[in-house]
Amino acid sequence: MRIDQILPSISYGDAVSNSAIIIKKMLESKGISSNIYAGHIHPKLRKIVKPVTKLNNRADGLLFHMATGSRESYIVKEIDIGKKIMIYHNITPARFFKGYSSNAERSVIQGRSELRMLKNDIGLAIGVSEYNRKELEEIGYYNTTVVPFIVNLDDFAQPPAKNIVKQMQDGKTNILFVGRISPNKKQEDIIKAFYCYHKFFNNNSRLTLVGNYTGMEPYYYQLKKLISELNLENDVLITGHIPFSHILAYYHTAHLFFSMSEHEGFCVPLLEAMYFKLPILAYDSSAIGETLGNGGVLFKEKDFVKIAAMIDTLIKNEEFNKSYRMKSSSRLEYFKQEKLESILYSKIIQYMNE
Amino acid sequence: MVAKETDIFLFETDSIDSAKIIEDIKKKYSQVLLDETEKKILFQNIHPPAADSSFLYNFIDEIEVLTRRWHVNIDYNITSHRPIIGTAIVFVKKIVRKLLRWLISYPFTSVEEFNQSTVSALHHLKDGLITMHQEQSEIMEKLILENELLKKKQKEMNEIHKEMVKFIGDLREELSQIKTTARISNERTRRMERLAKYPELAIAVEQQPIIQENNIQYSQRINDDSFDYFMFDEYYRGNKQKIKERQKRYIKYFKGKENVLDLGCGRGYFCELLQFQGISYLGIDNNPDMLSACQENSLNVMNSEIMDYLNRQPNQSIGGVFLGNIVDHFTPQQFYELLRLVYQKLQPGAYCVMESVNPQSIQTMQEYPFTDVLNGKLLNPRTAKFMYESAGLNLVQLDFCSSLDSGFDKLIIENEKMSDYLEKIDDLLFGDQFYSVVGLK
Repeated sequence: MRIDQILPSISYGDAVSNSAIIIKKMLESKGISSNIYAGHIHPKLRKIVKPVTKLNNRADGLLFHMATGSRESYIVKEIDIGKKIMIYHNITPARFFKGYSSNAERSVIQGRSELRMLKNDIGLAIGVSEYNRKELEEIGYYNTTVVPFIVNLDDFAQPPAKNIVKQMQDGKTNILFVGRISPNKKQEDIIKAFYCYHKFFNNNSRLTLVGNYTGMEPYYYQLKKLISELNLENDVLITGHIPFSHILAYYHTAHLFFSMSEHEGFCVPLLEAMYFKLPILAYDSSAIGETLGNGGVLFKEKDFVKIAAMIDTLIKNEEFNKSYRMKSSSRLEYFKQEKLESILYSKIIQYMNE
Repeated sequence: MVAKETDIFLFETDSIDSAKIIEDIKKKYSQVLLDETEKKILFQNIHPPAADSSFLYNFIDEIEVLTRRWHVNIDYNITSHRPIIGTAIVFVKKIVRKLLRWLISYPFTSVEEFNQSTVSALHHLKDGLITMHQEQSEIMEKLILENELLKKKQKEMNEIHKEMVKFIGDLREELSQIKTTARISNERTRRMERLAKYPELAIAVEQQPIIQENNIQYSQRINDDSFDYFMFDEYYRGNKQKIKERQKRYIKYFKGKENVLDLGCGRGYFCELLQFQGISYLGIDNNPDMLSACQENSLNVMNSEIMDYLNRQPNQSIGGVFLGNIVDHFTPQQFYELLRLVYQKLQPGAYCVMESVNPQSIQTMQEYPFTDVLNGKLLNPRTAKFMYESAGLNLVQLDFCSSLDSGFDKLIIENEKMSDYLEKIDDLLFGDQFYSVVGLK
């Protein structure tokens, strides 16, 4: 049996790309061959990924990773392969990008339209969260299921950048959020809540926002302006695109992972924070609640002062802190790669044998 | 263990005393007091830039592409698609490249340096543009805000203006009422003063010779018991402006004429029109109140019985005659005699114009209470026209004006006969309020 995978772009270190490679390895370990085809391929991955132009209909099944609008959606619709599977990583609603990035806005609008277009062509639609599955069901996909995002966190065992670790371990309390700078992630709300925490509870603290802002410059500059208005220039750091070892350093030195995001289809950084046993405080939106489960503290309203008080308690109250470090770590068990791979395999095989 | 919702938070409470945690948090946040500036910044949402960003987005996208491509790799990977001799071809190509390196390395380095500088300059430009765009957005946001404020103020001003207009309207109405009351009061006072000064005026006119006083000759009997026509007219004859507006149409018959008479000039509204047009005229009336009001307005009037005055005038000496709503002061016979006398005194080519309430309109007759105090009776328009012609006047025209709003005209009746009937009923009920007859000597 051969089940090929297709995705618009594959790059090194990207979560969706990693997931495609993990699935390829998993299928091959079960004796099923699997080629990955992508529209845009990172040079380092040219050996294991083929250009989409080489895609043919000789495979028994085709697995499509859907995360944005792309020409690959049309290829999936048109290609003559009997069994078509989709893994839906979610598409950010266009309203978040309106006025910030016409490209991003266009791309997600196109993505949603392609998602509707494919509803009758996909025999098995897998959401990486229940939130995503419901969306697929609402659109009209007839066979939907959930298999959580398969993440390989082995790379996180690599050594962090020492200089960054040293720099961050200066006695300050480090609050961390990881995710590209984007209006749906609401970094401005993180800054506002941090302001309250920094001013009223702990002025020996620092907020680090790790994430690339290329393409979202207008939003990034608004965040910079907000930081300046709140006189937090020395206490808030927006890293931009940084090497992986630096990301590891920020995780290693963080005291709390804090999210205000208003739209996530799964939220991989939560799992990364769990890996580093960080207490997690997150706004309960979209798929965040189900990914976090009992691994962190959720809140339902964005009351910055109350949230700041909770940050302080989560960090200062030893018992509370210890308890949530443990919970965070144990929640990661739920997303164990082998377990999820086996669930995904059984669902795919069941569908292929139908 | 099920997560417990406490305050805005949701967390598991297995080994933790959640009440204590929440108590601790409450204690912390209840001590926090945000000042107004903080509140403004924290509670104000970030909005997308107000200025049009499409140019900037395209520019940023292009710079991203440039940033990826500025590097010119001299050691690019040489490949060949030929399966067997490919390796040899690649080897030879690599040798050639190595041999030519001395030749191409300099231009390659130069190009790379140029690309690097260009991309770097473009990045600076991008940063500058973004800053400018942000500033522009901020200015636009402020302008939008100011505009909204202005709109709000304008709305408030409009409301105030509306109230002011209404208030001024009310004031005008009140002032007009006060003026009317004052005028009437003045008249009453004057009437009483005249009576006190000239007690002989209380004697009937036929027993009393003409008394001269300030060019006004009082001949009518005045006493407290006599009917106050002036006040009655003020109340019920109608609004001065409306009357003047209606009677303006008759001016054309008197233009260029001299010695025009307004017989029974009353409050002198037609005299005012004649005076305004510079036509030489004289108003004749025998009511001292009316004459007094006319004199107050500097109108040229005389107290006299109409017939007496006309009789005293030489034949063919009068440039025109206006008979405004006086037909009801005469019997039909008297009116006919008046018309004959007018004809006799008019110069050839002069007009005699009469205006009267139209007795054919039931609604008008209902609405106008002056019909209760008529001395004579209203003439049917056709009778008036016939009298004109009989008196010798030529080119007699009968005209109607000031129709009432009936509402019948809004009905759509497809049946022609029915429509005709309705038109007749409409005329009868809501016909024109006034008619005029014009005749030429």
